[in-house]
Amino acid sequence: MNVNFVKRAGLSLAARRVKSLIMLGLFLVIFTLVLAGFLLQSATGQSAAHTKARVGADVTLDWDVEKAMAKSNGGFPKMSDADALTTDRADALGRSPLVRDYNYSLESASPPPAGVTLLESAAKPPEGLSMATTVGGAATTAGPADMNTLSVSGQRDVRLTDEFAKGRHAVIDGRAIGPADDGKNVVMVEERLAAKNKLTVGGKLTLKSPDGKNPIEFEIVGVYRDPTAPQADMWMPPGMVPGNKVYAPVGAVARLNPSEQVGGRTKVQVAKYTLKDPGKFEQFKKAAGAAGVDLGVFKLDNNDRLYRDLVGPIQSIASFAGVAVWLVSIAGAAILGLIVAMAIKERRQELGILLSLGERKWKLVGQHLVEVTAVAVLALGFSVLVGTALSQYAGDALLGREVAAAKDKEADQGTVAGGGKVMMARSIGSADPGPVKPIDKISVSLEAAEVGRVAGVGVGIALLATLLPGLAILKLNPRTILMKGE
Amino acid sequence: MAPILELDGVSHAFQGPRKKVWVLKNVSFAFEPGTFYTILGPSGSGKTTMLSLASGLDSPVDGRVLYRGEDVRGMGLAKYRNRHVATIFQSYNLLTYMSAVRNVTTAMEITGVKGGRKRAMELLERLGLDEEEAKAPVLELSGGQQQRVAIARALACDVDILFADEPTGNLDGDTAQEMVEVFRELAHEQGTCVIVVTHSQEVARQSDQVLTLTKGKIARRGK
Repeated sequence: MNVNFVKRAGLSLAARRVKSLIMLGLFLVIFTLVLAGFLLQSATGQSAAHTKARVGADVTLDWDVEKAMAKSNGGFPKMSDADALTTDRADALGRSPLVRDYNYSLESASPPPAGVTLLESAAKPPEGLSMATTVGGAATTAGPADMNTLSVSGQRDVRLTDEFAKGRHAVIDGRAIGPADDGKNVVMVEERLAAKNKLTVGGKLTLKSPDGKNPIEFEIVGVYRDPTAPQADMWMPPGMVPGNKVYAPVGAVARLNPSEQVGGRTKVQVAKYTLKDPGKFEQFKKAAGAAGVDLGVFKLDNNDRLYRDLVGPIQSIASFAGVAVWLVSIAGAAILGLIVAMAIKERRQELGILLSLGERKWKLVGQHLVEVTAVAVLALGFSVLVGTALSQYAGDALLGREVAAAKDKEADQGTVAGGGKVMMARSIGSADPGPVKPIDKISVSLEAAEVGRVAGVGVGIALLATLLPGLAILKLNPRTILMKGE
Repeated sequence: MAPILELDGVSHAFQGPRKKVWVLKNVSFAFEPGTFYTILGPSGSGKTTMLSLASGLDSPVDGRVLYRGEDVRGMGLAKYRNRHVATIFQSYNLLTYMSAVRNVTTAMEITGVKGGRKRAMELLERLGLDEEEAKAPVLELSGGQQQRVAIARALACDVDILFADEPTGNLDGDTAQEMVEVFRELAHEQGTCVIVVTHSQEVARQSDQVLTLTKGKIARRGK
């Protein structure tokens, strides 16, 4: 096949340097923006997928209070012993092949052990609410003695609690309590409480039930650090002061509280499962039913809020990038189409001459296509050079704005909630993990797939921008172009 | 001698503002190879229309244009223009972003004629352009030089029929005479059928046959 039109295209581009450079610039802008859009989409997609794999797998099994209230017809909701979530049920579900790890918890409280002084709230108690924080279990001044307690958190595996898993708490001496401690009376104490009372690993601590009965001696196996400072402007009962919390195995906490046992089995309040595959939530629900968990009484919450909080800003960026890609592509095709249409009009004489020599019309369209494509290929090369850096810059800038907006929103919600999150009692806390730091960095990296997608868009734009105006070439009549009328 | 080109009852019209305007009316004529024809006539007589139909730049509303007995419409106008005819225009119609020699080689590439740059340079030299002028962008050449390039381009295509529309209209007397000499040589020495539309009686005087058009009809034919 005679491809002389390719040579003509090269000559034409070289001869019309200024116009070629303008087209190159236009293509460069379009491709850089489209590439940036694709790169941002890809980076945010990868980040979201990574986050989903990291946090989206957490499923919390908890008592469904709403359903219970509906069943109680306005009365106080109560769970029957038959329906209770027990360790054997929770363990049965934990053995499912869908589960990577799991934890469950049982919260309790104990009067301060003998000789132990609890940490005090930074703020003074409200008028008329005074109590002693030292005393071997009893209040020495007026005030609710039952608030003068040490928080006792029963955990199957302390390392899987949000506090330890996310690094807010850390073991600084001894070890963490784990599944192997089931049946043992062991405890972990906080660094400040330990320092204040000279408690060390290997020491003993006698805990009781919340009503001061059933004393059991626990061995201290670990000291952990909670960097949370007491709130300076709000008084808290001792049980909620950071540091006044000990961790113990669930079974041991149940032994302190015989009411938490049903038929020799230990009740737990909430369980958290980490799935191997976040996409198998529905299968996990079926497995829960098979393990004897009544989903009419309990609810399974996929850890969606955490995921949404984390990826919210980057999803906004991905959405923006997607819209930008479409807008730029459409606008680019339209602008280039108009430029090519104008070029065809300008070059009617040239087209007429070539037609008079017997050149085929498709080759004339082909010449324009080659010219546009050659410029597009060059622009694609340049856009690859600048696109990655621009995408990273744009991504960081856009994400920074989104994260700031997310923080503002979080702050607004925090104000409305009145610090409710701080008051959370359940340490397993996956259903409402509290404020989380959204993803504020994305890593943009150029891969062949993105370049291929931009090349695809470029070919599409070049075809649209050339072939549609090129239809005019098919209508050209060399006589009307070249001959002077009589 | 068998005609190389025939106009068989050719009529053509253009759509005017109010009605169709017939510019050629049932014209029939047979052109022979090796003959230099000129077509004379006042403006609006249909000369250029006749040339554009005969050269395959357009199709007649009625009648047929036959190349060696074959209707060029059936052959395909692009193919007819590509293989058998070449046209020289009054306004040269060169590709302005190319050099003189590149204009000629481009035409050769399109029409599939061998010889390439060497043959193009020879033709340009024969028509009076030196190497420097041949390599220069056509817009840097004078009108006469551009017309020579246009003629070289037509000659390079090795065609049987050469059409020219007022080829000497923009040229000085000496250059115009040189062009006429080239046409005569092509017709008489290479057997090409040369058909030139002109207002020049001098050019007509030097041709083998003169057709005079009046109001879309051949009013006179002969020497």
